[in-house]
Amino acid sequence: MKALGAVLLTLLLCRQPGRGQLQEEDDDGDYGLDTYEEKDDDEDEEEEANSIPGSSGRGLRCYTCQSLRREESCNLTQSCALSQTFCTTLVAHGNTESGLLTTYSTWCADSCQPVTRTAEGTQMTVTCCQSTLCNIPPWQGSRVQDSPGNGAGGSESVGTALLLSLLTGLWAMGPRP
Amino acid sequence: MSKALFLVAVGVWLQSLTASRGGVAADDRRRDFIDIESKFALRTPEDTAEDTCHLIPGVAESVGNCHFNHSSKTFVVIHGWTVTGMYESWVPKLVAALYKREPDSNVVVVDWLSRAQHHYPVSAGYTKLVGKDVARFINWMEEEFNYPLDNVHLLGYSLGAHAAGIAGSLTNKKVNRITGLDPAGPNFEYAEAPSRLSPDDAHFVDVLHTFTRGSPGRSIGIQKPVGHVDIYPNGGTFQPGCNIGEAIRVIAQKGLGDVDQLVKCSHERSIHLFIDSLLNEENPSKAYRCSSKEAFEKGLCLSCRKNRCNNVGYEINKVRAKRSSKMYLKTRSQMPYKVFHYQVKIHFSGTESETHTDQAFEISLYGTVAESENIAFTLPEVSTNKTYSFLIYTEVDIGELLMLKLKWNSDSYFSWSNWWSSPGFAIEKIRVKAGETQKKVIFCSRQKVSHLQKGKAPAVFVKCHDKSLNKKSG
Repeated sequence: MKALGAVLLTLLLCRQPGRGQLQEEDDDGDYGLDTYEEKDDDEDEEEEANSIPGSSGRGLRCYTCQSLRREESCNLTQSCALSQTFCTTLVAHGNTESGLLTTYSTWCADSCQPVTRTAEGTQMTVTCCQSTLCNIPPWQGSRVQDSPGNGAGGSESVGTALLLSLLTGLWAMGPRP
Repeated sequence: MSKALFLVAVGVWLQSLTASRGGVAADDRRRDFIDIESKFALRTPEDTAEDTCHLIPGVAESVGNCHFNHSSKTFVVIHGWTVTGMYESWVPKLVAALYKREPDSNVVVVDWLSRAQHHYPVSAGYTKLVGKDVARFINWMEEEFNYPLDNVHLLGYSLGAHAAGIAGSLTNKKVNRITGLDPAGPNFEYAEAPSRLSPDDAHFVDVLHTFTRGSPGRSIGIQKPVGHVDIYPNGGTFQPGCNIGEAIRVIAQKGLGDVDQLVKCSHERSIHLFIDSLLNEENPSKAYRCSSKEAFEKGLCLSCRKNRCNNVGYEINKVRAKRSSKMYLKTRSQMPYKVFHYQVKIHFSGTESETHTDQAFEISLYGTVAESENIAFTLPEVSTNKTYSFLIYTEVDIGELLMLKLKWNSDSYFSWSNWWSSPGFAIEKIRVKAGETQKKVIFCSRQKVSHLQKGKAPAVFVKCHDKSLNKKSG
């Protein structure tokens, strides 16, 4: 009974988003590997694309366009990974080889600090928001978008509550030697 | 006659019996340790430079007299070879830094100066005896006062690192930690583990290698990894600020008195890096595990996954790998030594196939709080439709990256080939991985594609995506 309780407890703990635990598990990891550094694991786009199926319907949805000009509209959106709770936008305004240009990039981010800074005659403004498709380019007509699965996020907390009640139940009758 | 003799004998026996309850037993105890030549001075935060109070193995009162704090941790500092027969100037600095960081601790300085001033090979041989002395002192503290060895941290510099290793191998229980500060190379590079510092000597052994220039066995610092974590700042061979030009500047300023300091500049840097880690608690330098110095220079090793990065110095994470791991970092030339590491990846596109060798570039990084401009780097080769990765670093914390500027320098000499048309490449995106923040940033050309021409205007790229690496997505 106690063992079952412990199992449930660990299950419960593992459900918590604490990342610290992961690192400890990794401690005795693959020290035999030595060539991993050479491996080019930099395919951000693929990673991002892969993360969609697992997280769709639970998290945030953001526009994701890179270096868009004023006359262009952004047609790319993405379901962010669970850890990514921000839609970020960066507007750059300043002179380029092809004259004064305002460009706009948008993406899902796990952290976001709003900031405005001018460097080398280019003004950059980072803004952050946390609702579905909130990082729409300012010159683009806002379309009302369906946000699929805003309600589905509840399943996890239901599971946790279930585990909790099970656990307390076990402890209520468990520790009688 | 015989009666008298008997009485005398009984008297002597009785006397010895009564005496043994007091002084003689202590004296015997003392005699057990009489062959310990090393001295153990408990320094104080008030007087970090003088050996005013000694802990004497076998003399329990000495520990009380020196106000040894039994409930705190103890640092045992072991110096290295000395030409002058005196403590070097770093000793009080390290003691002061240890007390600043751990005010309640005990900082014990081992004095083996008399054995440390012989010809190098003789002093190197004495590390066995010094290590044995230190081990007996520690064992006595444990036996006499139940002082837990898990509170003991040995710090040894140069030959002192190997003395610490030998001490650790001879204690009743393993000590908590040994920090080897550029352990000596000559006579130890090819030595077996028991006669030098090795990972078995403590629960955790960390090593800073700062002066390993030269062939193995001849370099002042040991080249091979000898701990659980072995850190090679600036590749471990030689340290910034330790070159001849710097030496001349220092001589001009301070006179010839500090010449021995200059000779050991890189060697001693290990200590100052550790002091830095004690004093600049909130900004530890990070070191990164890498298979080679060359791979690190390419920026390929800035990962922190699975303990691949660690803090340098006091706040190191005690990662015990099955085998030694070499870690690298760049540093500034003076305290604070911390720099910020970036891997830059550029794909050079073009319609015509071109290859150029040894090309000089400059990169400028603009962040949310500051910028670092005109960081020079050379690519051994640049070819069309190839991606190149390299490491750059900044001395200032520029915050989150926002913009990047890239310039391709013309050759310093007058070049006919560039006169008519300078070579150029098209660049769409530049990828940067920041080691300290563990973020991957993509910079995009603001005109979809930028043309970078040799000797012409720089190309500017603005952040168009970023991603944290320490948080797993999904």
